[in-house]
Amino acid sequence: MKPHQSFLLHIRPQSFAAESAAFLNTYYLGFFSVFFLVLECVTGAVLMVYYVPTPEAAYESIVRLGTEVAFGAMIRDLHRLGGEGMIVVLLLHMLRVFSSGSYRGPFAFTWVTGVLLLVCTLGLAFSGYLLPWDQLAYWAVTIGTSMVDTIPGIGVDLGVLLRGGVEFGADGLLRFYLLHIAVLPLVALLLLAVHYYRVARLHGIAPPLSPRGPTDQEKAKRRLFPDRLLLDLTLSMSALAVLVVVVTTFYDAPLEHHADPRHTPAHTRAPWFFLWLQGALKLGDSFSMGVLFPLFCLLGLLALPYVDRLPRRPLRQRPLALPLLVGGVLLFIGLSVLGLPRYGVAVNPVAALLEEVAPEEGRSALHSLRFDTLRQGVYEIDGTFRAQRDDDFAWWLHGLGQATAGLGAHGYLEPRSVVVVEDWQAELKRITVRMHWLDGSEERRPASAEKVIYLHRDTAEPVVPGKEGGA
Amino acid sequence: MIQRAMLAAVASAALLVASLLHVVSGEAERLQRDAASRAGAVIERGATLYGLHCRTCHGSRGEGVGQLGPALGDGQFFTKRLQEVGWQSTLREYVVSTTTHGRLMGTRPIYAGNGATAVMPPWYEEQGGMLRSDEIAAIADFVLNWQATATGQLELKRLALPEQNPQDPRTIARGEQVFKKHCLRCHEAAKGGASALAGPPLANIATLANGRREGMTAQDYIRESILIPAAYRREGYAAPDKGQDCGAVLTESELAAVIAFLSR
Repeated sequence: MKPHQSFLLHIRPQSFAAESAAFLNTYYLGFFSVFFLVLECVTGAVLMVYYVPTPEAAYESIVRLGTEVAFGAMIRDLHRLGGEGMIVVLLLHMLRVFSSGSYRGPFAFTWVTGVLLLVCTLGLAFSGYLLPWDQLAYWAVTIGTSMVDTIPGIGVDLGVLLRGGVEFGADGLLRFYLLHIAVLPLVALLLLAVHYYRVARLHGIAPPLSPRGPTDQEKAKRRLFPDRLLLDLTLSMSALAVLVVVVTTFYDAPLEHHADPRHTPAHTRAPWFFLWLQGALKLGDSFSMGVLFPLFCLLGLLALPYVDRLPRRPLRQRPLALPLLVGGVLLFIGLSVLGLPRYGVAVNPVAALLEEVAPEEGRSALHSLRFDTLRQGVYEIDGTFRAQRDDDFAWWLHGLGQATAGLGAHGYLEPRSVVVVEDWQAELKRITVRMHWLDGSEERRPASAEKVIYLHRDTAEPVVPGKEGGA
Repeated sequence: MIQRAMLAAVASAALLVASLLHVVSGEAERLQRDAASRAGAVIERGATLYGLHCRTCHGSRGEGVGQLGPALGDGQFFTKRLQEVGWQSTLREYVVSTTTHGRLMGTRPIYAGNGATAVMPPWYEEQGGMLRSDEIAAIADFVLNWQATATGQLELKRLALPEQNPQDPRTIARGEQVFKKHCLRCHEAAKGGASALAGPPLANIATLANGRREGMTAQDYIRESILIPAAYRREGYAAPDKGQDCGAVLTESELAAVIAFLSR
């Protein structure tokens, strides 16, 4: 078969200008965007085999991926991390196109489709976020969609349409599932088709802006087959290999407790790519910051190539572009930092310490101690507590003693902790952490707070000896 | 040029295959580890839920509470209960089913202490309860985990908790917290004024209770009133709700603390 007869070679141009396709011109960011899109489609298709989009079964089906399905955890981790990787690559892609001015002239509409693809990807990330149906998902998406309710006039109806009710339930989960697996991927593929057609057939990749002009070597054409195709294969397989190693060694897609509409979790935190929005919400009301501000940003990005109609020039010669670029990046980072829980509602220090010792979600430090070192007993500790024996638990108590003494700085007088360890059942221990202090009033009245945590041997991690162990 | 590109492609393919082989080699073990860790986490979750919803009637260690609920952590439950009720399936299914649907009537001739027969209520949300099916499953796993101690395969030494001194201001402070959490809805403690609330004010209950009944200390009077709210009634106040098992929601140490607070 001749190259031009092949379907694959038909949708891709048969050759590239060497200077445009060079690594230092594009950093292959467009390529990696598509790589991640393909990865998401493939892993997503596998996940669809096991996932059940109902509130009764969704969570269990995700648990099953980890405990019963061979490679299930890896596929899910790849899908989750791949989605986040795709957003990173898209953002970098956009920054690259902006700073090289390659959104002007014939590239204008291509930029517009690119911005819409970014919006689509964020929509995919947001809708996919709900699907595990755990506390993290439920509350982040509940807060996210509640911004829709603030639109005057139609907001409440729109919110109900989106969630399938006033709050998320079976209808809302199904809606988000269908958005995630059908509607948004279809729109994204259509947009990608237009985007790629324009790049591949209409105007090509914008060449680098070089004052000396391209050399003969740079002007040379590079064939798609076999040069470019081999490069694509090499990049894809290496990236996949790296991702596989990363997700199986360092990364676990989060899964908190089953979603519970009756229980607001201690921390609700947006995913990092929406932290900027959470930060913006702290600066104003939900409608102006949650709806108008993102809309304004979106319109600004869409209008950019039609407002800025000058010919392409290097970044140095565009007086407005550099401040816009740096300002935009700083705004994104600044708002994201502001979105972190530490800039949220101040939590009372005792509650914060108890939450740290016995967190509602995830593993506690206690889970990392050797199970057998947690000996049954009542341990009264304060800042003067010194570990008697060199073991994990003693060091943990030591850390708790220090943290308890630290409460003194917040106006808690004579703070001390009591830890009660009880053998509760076979391989199960019950640990009660209670804090006592005297309040700041004149009578110095005693007060206390406590939290109970259960530890099963099988959830405890293997030995991690070290002196860092602490609350 | 082509040779180099080919070489790179082959090398990356080898890298990918190596990484996948690495995953394959450890996957069976990972599944086992994650399944065990998950099972442990479910028991932990069940323990928390049991502490919230079940211990008031079945005892915090499944020892049963007098006339409210039978023991779940003893040998009788693990070896004889199924024959007793003629249950055909497993003990776990029995626990799940009983928790899900509750009972129409008690299978044990026992008395709840407030005029009602103690009957297991349905706990599944679709049956009018407040638990999801996965929560009921977690509770069942926790209850079944008593098997080793109930059937004598394992003996756990009970931790002797230190005696609470009712004069200790810390005990009184804890009692005040318990009071605020569990009693304040019906009883006003600080001010003497009676309100529309169901229960009488308890500001001077210590003096009132002392000698109200022949040979009974204030502490015993308060204790019995908490355990059986209808035991003694003050003039002018309605009888407590049948569902108002004041004492049943408290642990023994909470009960001691709240008595210390009220009789201070």
